[in-house]
Amino acid sequence: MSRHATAHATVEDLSAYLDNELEPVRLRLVKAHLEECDECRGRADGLSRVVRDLRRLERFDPPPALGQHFLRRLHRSSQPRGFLQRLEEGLEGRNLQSPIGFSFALVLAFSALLYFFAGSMERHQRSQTAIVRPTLIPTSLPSEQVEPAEVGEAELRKIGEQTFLWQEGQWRQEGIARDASPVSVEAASSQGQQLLLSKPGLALLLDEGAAVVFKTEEGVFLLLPSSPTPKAQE
Amino acid sequence: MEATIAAVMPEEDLDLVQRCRYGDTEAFGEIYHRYAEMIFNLAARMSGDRDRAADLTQEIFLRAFRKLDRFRGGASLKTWLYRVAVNHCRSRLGRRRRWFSPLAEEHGAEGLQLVDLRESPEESAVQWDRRRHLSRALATLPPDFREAVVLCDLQGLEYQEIAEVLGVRIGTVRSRIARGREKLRARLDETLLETKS
Repeated sequence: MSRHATAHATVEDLSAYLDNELEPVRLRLVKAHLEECDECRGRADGLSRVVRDLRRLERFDPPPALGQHFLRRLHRSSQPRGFLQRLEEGLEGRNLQSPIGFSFALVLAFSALLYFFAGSMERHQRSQTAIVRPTLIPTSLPSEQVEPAEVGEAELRKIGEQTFLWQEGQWRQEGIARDASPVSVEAASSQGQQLLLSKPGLALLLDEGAAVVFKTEEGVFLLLPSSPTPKAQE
Repeated sequence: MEATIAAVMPEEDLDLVQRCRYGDTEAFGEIYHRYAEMIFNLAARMSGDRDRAADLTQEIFLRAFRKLDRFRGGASLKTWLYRVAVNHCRSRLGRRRRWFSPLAEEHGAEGLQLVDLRESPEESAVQWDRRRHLSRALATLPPDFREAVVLCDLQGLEYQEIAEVLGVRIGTVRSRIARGREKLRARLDETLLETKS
């Protein structure tokens, strides 16, 4: 119903009028309008027939066994419940009970598990490759004398305070310039033996069969092993 | 809180609720017997299937039993049960809240049917046919409209009670009922025209 009695009534007004749910002022306006407007009276009659028929639709009686069945469930339900029952209650009414929804949730959970498992395996493998292979270190050596340096994937040896890098088929002491021209010395020679006595750790590198470039106060030397160099042939 | 409950609930309901809170399942059995028919009919109209309605009715009462400690008595027990029922039907039936199988009245085989003895057999047949079409039209209403119309015209609730059940304002209830009825009227008129032609 709009502002004055001559305007047509809205369907909300007509419907509420039939239910006696209009406020007194509006009720008077609608009543007055219906007395003079055939169109609105026809619409009200149509709605009234629908309401009457709806109220005459049949009522259903619950199945006779439903009460007994429910009471049994009620007694079961009032007993202490386990985890699975509480989970079932939690899922109740969430549409997860439909087979499709539940299967989808399972697949999703399994995929997530697989993804995290694969990721952790990959991270583990990466961390393994970052460590220098321990098999190259003679097991008989004292650990404080020679130890692998933990620097990336480059192959290093630490002998005392000095670091040796594996470059171009030979061990090269860190800090020696590339253009330095070392003096070649046979390890078996007397000079070689003296150098080995002054730096005993070098013998460990020579035992692997590779030449070693190092420096002393006297200069830069290339100490050559007496046997063939299997490591250099790798 | 108990004063509030007493203000809006019949004495018997109040007594039953108190007994249930002390773990008396027999008392809840009485609540079931008192309101089962009401909830079953609502579930039947919401699901469109009497077997489904039987399952829904049990689930609704079990849910109410578990939630009874949260019942604060702001509304009557009847209104509160309706609210539990509507929410449960919404979640169980999802967006598919429409009828897919005909209810008994469409077969004319079961259930109680109100017959006006002043009507002639022909008039009764016409009215019967009209109600059958109405029942089908009700099934096709949008769920929000259907809930409001069913609660008002089939369950006999007042607008204020419906607003409490649905958790909406009374103006919204008025609008949903009116629009639902108007759609039903339009569909019945269409059906009538089709039948005549």
